[in-house]
Amino acid sequence: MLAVLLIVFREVLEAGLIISIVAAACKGLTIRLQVVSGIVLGLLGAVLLAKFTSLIEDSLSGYGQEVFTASILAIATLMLAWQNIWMSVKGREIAEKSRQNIKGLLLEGKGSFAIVIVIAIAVLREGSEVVLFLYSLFLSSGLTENSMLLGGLLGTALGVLVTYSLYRGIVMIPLRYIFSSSNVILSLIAAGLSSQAVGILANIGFLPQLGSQVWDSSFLLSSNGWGGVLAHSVIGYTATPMGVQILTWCTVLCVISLTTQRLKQSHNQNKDTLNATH
Amino acid sequence: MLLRCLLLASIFSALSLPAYAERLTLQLQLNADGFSPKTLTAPPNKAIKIELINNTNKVAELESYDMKFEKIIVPKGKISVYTGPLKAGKYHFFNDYASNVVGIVNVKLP
Repeated sequence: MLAVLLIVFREVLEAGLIISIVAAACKGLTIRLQVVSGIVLGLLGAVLLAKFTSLIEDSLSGYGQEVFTASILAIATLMLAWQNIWMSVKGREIAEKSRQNIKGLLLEGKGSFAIVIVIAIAVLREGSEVVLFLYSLFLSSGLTENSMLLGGLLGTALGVLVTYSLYRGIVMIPLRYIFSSSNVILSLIAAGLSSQAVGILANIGFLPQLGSQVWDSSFLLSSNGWGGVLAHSVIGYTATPMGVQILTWCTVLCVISLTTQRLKQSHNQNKDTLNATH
Repeated sequence: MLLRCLLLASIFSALSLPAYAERLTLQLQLNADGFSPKTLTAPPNKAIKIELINNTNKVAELESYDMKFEKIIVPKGKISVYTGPLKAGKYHFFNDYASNVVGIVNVKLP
């Protein structure tokens, strides 16, 4: 039962890590509704996905799972980029307006629909694994050995609890100062997800690897240790990255941060011309 | 602009990829007592395909951090995972749905 508890806990935490960091990075916006609907959508998707796993696996001449995972990771990347750009434009407007009428528009989270999709994908990815795992336990052990199932449910509950405390923790402790540059955090997550996606596609030969192991930093942080796994799920760390992963990681980071920067500048210019004409 | 060119270049070179025809296929089975064999051997710098058959009645997930694959396999199912070319060394894979069901790919010159 303990083994089951730990396996499920780990899966839930992996999704929870992304959710709590993304949610904390969007602080100042009321996105509770988005977070909840993201989780619900993700769970529904997870059940469907679990049901059709063999079908997906057999499709696309055995590359189905890889292509599917890479696609949802790519979508999550796009959504994070969109959210980031939206926030950099909106954040400024909100900051200006809040000086005049303090709470009126300050906490309006409209437009952050992208967060729903990002969270739904995080839940979908790990959730389908949990659903399949628990379902197979249920099938193989039946209701007589429900200590296994109990372990699974406890693991889920524990994972949710830790995720929530993590979120509260990130929001509360001085670490929140790091999130004043939520731009950077969201871009890093997006870069990590995209490099995972191209890594999967390159492994099955759909993209060139541009070098299969460009460097080996396992002496610094091993991919197999818990630190490496943590860094993998948040920023896409791998000790032996492919060339195409490094290229994608840097490109996504640059494109998102340059775009948000440029949008902020043009917004400032608009404001200056407005001020000048008044 | 440079980045866009690089992206385009990588997309087009993907289209003209050799189809990894010369992949080395390794056979692996998952039984109630773990993987069989527990150690697979492969030469360095060769693209690898690992075919896994799940003989148990439980869902499993074949995963490796250092070989970068992660794939679900249903009971009595069969999957293939892809990795490499790898440098010489020992690489680890495991069943993510069980504790301590592990195996090694030993990459060395024959």
